[in-house]
Amino acid sequence: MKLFKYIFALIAFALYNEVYSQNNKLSESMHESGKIYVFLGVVLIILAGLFVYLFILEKKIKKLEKNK
Amino acid sequence: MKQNWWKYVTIILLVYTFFFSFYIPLKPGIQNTSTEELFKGPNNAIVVYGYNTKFIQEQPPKVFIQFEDDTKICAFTTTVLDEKKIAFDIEIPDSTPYKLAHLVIQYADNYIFSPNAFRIKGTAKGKITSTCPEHNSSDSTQVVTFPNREILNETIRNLMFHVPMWFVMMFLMAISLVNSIRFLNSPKPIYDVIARNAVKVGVVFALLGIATGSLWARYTWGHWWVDDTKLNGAAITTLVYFAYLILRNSIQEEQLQQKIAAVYNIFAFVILIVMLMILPRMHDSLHPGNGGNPAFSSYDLDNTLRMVFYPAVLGWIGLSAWILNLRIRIDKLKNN
Repeated sequence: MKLFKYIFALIAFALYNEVYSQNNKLSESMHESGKIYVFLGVVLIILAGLFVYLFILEKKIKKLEKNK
Repeated sequence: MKQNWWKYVTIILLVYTFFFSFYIPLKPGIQNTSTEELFKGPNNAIVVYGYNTKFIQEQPPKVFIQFEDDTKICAFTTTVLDEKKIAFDIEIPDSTPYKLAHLVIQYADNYIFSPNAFRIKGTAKGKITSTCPEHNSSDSTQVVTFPNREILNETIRNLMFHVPMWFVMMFLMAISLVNSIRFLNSPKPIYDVIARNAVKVGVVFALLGIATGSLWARYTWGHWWVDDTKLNGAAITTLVYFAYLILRNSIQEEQLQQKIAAVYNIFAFVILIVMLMILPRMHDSLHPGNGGNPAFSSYDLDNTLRMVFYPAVLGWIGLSAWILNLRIRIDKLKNN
């Protein structure tokens, strides 16, 4: 359930960013230096997604090990 | 060791992908200009901000604007303010019939082109002749660089991360389809295990593709989600495969579950083909490199991108196959 808390926090942060994005620093810096931070964000999303997935897999394996 | 060689190949390919997609610089380009309008007559002190450029005063860059029919007008003075900034003065003849002008800067071995950088104010019906000597427009940059495109800029590197997510998804769904057909031919449980787990891993990669695409869309198209054939097709495909997983879990009897899931999977793959491969080719999309073969048109991929893109696709497919391999082994343990 901890995972859902993190995901919820991320969504809340994204919404907050959207609402206050008129003159916020994150939105501005995303457009700076040829949008390199957008690329960075994409790479981080992929890595984070894969790691979360691996953690979920690990939990499943642990359950299997306990049952045996 | 012998069985696992492809896992080592995967590691090498992905390290190569990450290294080069971060390391290779972008071609010099034009970030913006101090004005977007040019008036008839002399226009003074127009400042151009370059990206990744190295302007030097000793070799002053040649600045000219180019119209749609290749008529060129040269700037009569050019001043280098610093490495990334130049100012120029230009005179537009009164009889200029054009509305839009491209900006071209030539310095050292570089040829920077910014399409439709200026609007010309005022209308006229006349003809003008080039005031520039013929330039050779060949780009002879020796350094290995990624192309610098309008709007895309640095995010062209997403080609090595966002695009392979969809290749991986199609690869996994194809594996799932093959195993579903094999299961219908001869109902061995192992085929069903492979088909099910391939869909589970494929859905993860589809979600990653949607999330990365969404972030990119926010800062290039302006919204998290836009009405685009590819986006909606991808979303529908993902939902269809979610439905596959839900359908499986909703049937209690095991043999019935496996059979119905296998049949549904064949239809799901047909929808994938239609949504991701046929419809995007029939409609225009906002995606870079559209109107034709998505992501593979020769115009949009230059050789430097190819050099990193193909290993990246193989690397990500290898990684997905690795995860699938682990999942299948877990399921086998579960059933024993």
